[in-house]
Amino acid sequence: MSDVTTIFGSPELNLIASARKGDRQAFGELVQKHRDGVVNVVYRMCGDPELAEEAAQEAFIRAWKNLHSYHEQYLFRNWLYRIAMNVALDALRSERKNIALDDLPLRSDNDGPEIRVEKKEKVEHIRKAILALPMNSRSVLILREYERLSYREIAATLDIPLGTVMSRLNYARNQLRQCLATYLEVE
Amino acid sequence: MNQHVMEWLAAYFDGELHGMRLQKVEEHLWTCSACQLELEQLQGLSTLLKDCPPMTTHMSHEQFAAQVGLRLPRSTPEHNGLTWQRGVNIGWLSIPLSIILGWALSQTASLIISVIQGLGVNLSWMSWFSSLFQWINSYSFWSLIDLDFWDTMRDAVPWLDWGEMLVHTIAPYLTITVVTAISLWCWMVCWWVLHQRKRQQIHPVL
Repeated sequence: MSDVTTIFGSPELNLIASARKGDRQAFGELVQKHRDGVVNVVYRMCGDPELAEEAAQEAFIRAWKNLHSYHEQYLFRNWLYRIAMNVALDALRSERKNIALDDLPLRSDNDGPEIRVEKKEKVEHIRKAILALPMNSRSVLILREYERLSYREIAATLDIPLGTVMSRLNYARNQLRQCLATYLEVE
Repeated sequence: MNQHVMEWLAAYFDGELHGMRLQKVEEHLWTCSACQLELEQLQGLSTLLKDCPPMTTHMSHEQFAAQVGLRLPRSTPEHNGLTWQRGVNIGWLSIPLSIILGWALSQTASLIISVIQGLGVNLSWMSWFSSLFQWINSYSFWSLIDLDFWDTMRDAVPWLDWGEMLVHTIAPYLTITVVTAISLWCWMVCWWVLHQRKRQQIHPVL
């Protein structure tokens, strides 16, 4: 399932090469560069900010330990995302967090007109709806909707066929449309 | 036709369609209100998902990188690729090279011996090679079709004498070449299987 993706940014490859030889400063630059992406991927997978911060650090540590196995045919960012996904998975298994759709807060018609509270509720509802998705569909949705990876990049990152990417994405979107139907009608 | 386009609407919305399929979907969308509605729903969902903001942390990028740096193990990533593993990899790669080298040496040796014998020179160590080739010949596939089959056919087809002589001459070389080819093929199959297993270990599937 490996796929050749375009490599751009030779400065990044230089940093990776230096980091491989033990240059921690070079690795630190890579961490700073990709921190936001990794943190957000883990956060959207886990839903817990504290857990996400810790898991993101763990993801970079795993990346450091496995730098020797990184192949330049992959985008470094996508390779990191794969590690981040696995770390998020491990973190969720250890925390045993499982949110059922029935536990989602219902939108009440008795709410006041305060926009800020309503928006906060909506955001929370969306977040929980995403967390209620199965892991494999959630990961594809996050990489597509928030990280804007192409189907081929998602397939290479998660090492799944292209058709599986499409089917999982369709499933996730259909589930979210059902769960967030009231917000979609309003919009 | 509607269902077919519905199937591709998500890919169309994500900009993943190209060529004829893209053209067909675009043409269909001009005329089909149901698919247009479906596309609007996809757009609405994507916009709604964007309302969920990214995570904000109190830590700066430098602080985060510094914390990661403190937690990094002392060993370098290069050292993490164990030396013995590299030795195993080198040894593994040397197998096909050894097979090819052995084949080349055997072919060269037989050629040299043939030339020397052709010149009428008879050296004591050459008898060892002749015995080896006779032993290979005796266990080669070609010897299985000797004896009765050839005796029967030889009377019917006189030129088979020449064919039999040819078979006996080239049998050892063909046997060595076939065994070399099979060995290389087996090595390639083993390498591919191990490579796939290693990929699965490094990149586990979600």
